[in-house]
Amino acid sequence: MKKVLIIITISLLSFAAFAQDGKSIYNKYSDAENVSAVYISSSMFRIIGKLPDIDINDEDVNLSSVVKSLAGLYIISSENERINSNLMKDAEKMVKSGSYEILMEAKDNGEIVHIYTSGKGDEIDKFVLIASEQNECTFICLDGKISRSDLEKIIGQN
Amino acid sequence: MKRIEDIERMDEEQLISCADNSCPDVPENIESIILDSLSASVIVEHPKKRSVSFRWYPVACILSVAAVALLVLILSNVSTQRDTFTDPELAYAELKKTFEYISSKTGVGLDIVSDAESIINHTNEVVFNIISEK
Repeated sequence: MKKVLIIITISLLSFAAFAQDGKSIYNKYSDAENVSAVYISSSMFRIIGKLPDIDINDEDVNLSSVVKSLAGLYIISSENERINSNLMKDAEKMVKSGSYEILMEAKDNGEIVHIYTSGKGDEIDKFVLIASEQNECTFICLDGKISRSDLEKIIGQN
Repeated sequence: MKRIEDIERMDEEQLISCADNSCPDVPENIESIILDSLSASVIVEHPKKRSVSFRWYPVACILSVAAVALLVLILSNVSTQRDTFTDPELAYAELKKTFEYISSKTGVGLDIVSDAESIINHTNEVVFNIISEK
């Protein structure tokens, strides 16, 4: 009986760890007060990639092909102090439970920025940014395959 | 009823005659009665056990947990999440804004690095000047 209980506990724990992703965090906090939430689906990304009247071709990077391969974008920007700490905890839990590696950590004048990526070789399949300031907390999760060089060009274009 | 002392004093012939006289009547079907009693006692002492194997319990538990997990996962994916924007141009504008935001946040780290780099360069110059003066 003990063995059975241990097996069930391990199975549930592994499932709980598996279940934590950008979507679940988005669903948890998107309806809270003083929280702005944005979700862009893979279908919308495909439409954006086909838009003829929008110039999404940059000199350095062709955003059109990049955008089409994206599977989802989840943004949670919270100015609600009551949920900020929980949002941070959940986001940190998500990256710790997954196969994420830290890309950057910066602390400047009370602002803390963490950027994580997940993927194999030159290809990234998840990009996560967690930024927290005094009263503000931002969580961005980008799902979809994108090459590291394209990502570097996108985030370094300004 | 004879006492033990009386029996002990009796010789062999007396004992045989006494045993013949006091022999109780044996029922004719004594053998079948004994056999029935024995078989009944065996059934009572060793009732047939149901051959229940508990080996499949962990497997069944794992399968049921996996089934529930799979169901939850499928339901969470099936539940159609609505896009924040129905207009692709607005979605594109938000995406561009997001990339700019990510870029600015990356810039926080790069600024710190460039500050550190200028300090390191300045330190190197000072050290180089001291060495060259000597």
